[in-house]
Amino acid sequence: MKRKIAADTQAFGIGILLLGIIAWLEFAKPGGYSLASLTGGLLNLDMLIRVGLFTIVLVGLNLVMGYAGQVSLGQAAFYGMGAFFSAILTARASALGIPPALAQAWWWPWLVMLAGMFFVGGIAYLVGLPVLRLRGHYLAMATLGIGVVVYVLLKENLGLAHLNLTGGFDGVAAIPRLRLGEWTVWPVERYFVLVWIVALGVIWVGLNIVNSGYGRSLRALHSNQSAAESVGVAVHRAKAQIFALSAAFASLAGSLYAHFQSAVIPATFGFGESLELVVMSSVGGLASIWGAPFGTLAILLLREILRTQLRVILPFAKGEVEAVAFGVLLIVIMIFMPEGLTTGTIKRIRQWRAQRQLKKELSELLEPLGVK
Amino acid sequence: MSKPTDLLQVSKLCKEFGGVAALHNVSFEVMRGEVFAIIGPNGAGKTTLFNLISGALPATAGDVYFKGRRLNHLSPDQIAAQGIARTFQTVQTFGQLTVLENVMVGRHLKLNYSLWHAALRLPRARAEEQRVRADALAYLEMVGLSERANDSAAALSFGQQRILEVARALAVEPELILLDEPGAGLTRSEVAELDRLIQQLRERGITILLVEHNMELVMGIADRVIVLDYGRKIAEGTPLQVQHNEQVIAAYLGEEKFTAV
Repeated sequence: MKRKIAADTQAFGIGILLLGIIAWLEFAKPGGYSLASLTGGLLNLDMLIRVGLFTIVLVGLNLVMGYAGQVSLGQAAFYGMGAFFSAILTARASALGIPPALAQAWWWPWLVMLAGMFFVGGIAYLVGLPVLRLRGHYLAMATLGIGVVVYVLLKENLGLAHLNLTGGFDGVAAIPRLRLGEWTVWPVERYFVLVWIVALGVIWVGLNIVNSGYGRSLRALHSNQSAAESVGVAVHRAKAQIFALSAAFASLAGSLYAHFQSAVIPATFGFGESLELVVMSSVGGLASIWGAPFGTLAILLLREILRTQLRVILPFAKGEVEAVAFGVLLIVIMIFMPEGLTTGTIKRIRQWRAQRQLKKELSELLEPLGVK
Repeated sequence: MSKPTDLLQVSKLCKEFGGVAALHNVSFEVMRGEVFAIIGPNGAGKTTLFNLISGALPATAGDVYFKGRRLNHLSPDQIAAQGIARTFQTVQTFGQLTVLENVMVGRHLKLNYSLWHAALRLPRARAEEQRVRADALAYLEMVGLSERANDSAAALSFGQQRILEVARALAVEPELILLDEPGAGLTRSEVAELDRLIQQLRERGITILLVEHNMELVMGIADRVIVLDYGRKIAEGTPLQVQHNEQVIAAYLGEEKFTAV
């Protein structure tokens, strides 16, 4: 356990260093270079902000799926709830009768963001208590249902057409930029730094939970629910709690997304998005907090490469070929690294080290005997 | 009502599975500090009885009282919080967790910090974790598994996993412990070890409810025995009384184990 925490600290160091280099590159533009020009346009801040946002969602999703062992096919709903919570309470504040003096204050969007986490987390807790009693396919169906309900509510103006809060299909536009006093968190490089400070904070919280008694009970109930109950783990409450926390993280990411895009539409938060999150989570490694950034980066990069390069190799290729190629690559990853990229790679390295150690010891033993 | 010396009172307990009575009108009282055994042929309802007491299954009728408090309708984790811990007939360790972590999960109820403390890694959470780790190690020491503390629980032998379950149940600091066939599948030396462990629990003042097929073990350590057959209690008494009960002999007829003792 101590060794694991030390490894996490190292990983944080490397992460902060990398992000620092990228931020320096983008702020100072030394010699006219930027991230995009150095990577041939493959990486840019826009994409890295998305990686950061999805990382925040995935840390929560990994706690729910990888550690507690509960399926959630509706995580995009909480992401969307956070996004619309922020969008409505800032861009549509006047329609809600919030005095402009309040809605224009620099701290208002931050307060909304925090309130959104509690609001969405609270709803997830109440929904989670009954729903997380279900197991396997039934739970998958129920969480799918949560996603559909939220999507329809957003699309149908929460059933309050006269207020036009969510804007229906068109969504909400003109969401203000975030500010710290007089300092606006924009242009994009400033926003990049903000998103990643939050993402690292969320990773830190995720690791703390994994390494605590809570994380242990989650893994225990994943491993054997009746045994966990028999020693006093209130399994239904524990599951609902972690579900609520994951929803709060998703909501936070949604709020940050809203202020990043300055416009949100319901279509972004449908079933496709929930599925994409599960894919990222599995590719990164379900039972791994560090899998969150790597899974996201891998999927977004894969998509980007397919989008730009497939047409170079196959001039006739259209969107369908891209989707098929993406699917095939996912299958390949899952066949060769079923635990996901991070857990899988760590396991490979350990195996390789153990083998090398064994070989070394063997040769030391055999050498004096003249055996090769 | 329950007498002051009664720790557990089971009153007219019934359980039906789709119309089939697995347990019918079973009543008995367990006194504080005794080793109380439940025996009977396979399918007699022993494990069902355990599942009703521990809250894993709801009773069809009847009541269970623990320290005078009615346990019906409490969930398994609430019953554990009352001071009842159990082991399982089929080994139920947390295979993906280490041996030490298995016992640490057993300390769950003693963890005194919230999710907030854990999430922000506040000093309280860290101190509590260290304490729980030390406690868990002490329990492993007691059952003789401390050398395997950092191995995965799934890597233990069958017998060791049974012992690990006992350690995990002990970590709950129960007043009553339900041991469901702890001797099944154990080697002779492991059974001897188990015998010693149960004696040790008794010396610690823990009341023991024991389901066991190994009659040598039962007759050696039990203070009192009840016999179940087809879901009904057919006898109750000291091991010696039960052994000479005609109904019991009839129920076990042909089962060499029993007559051999």
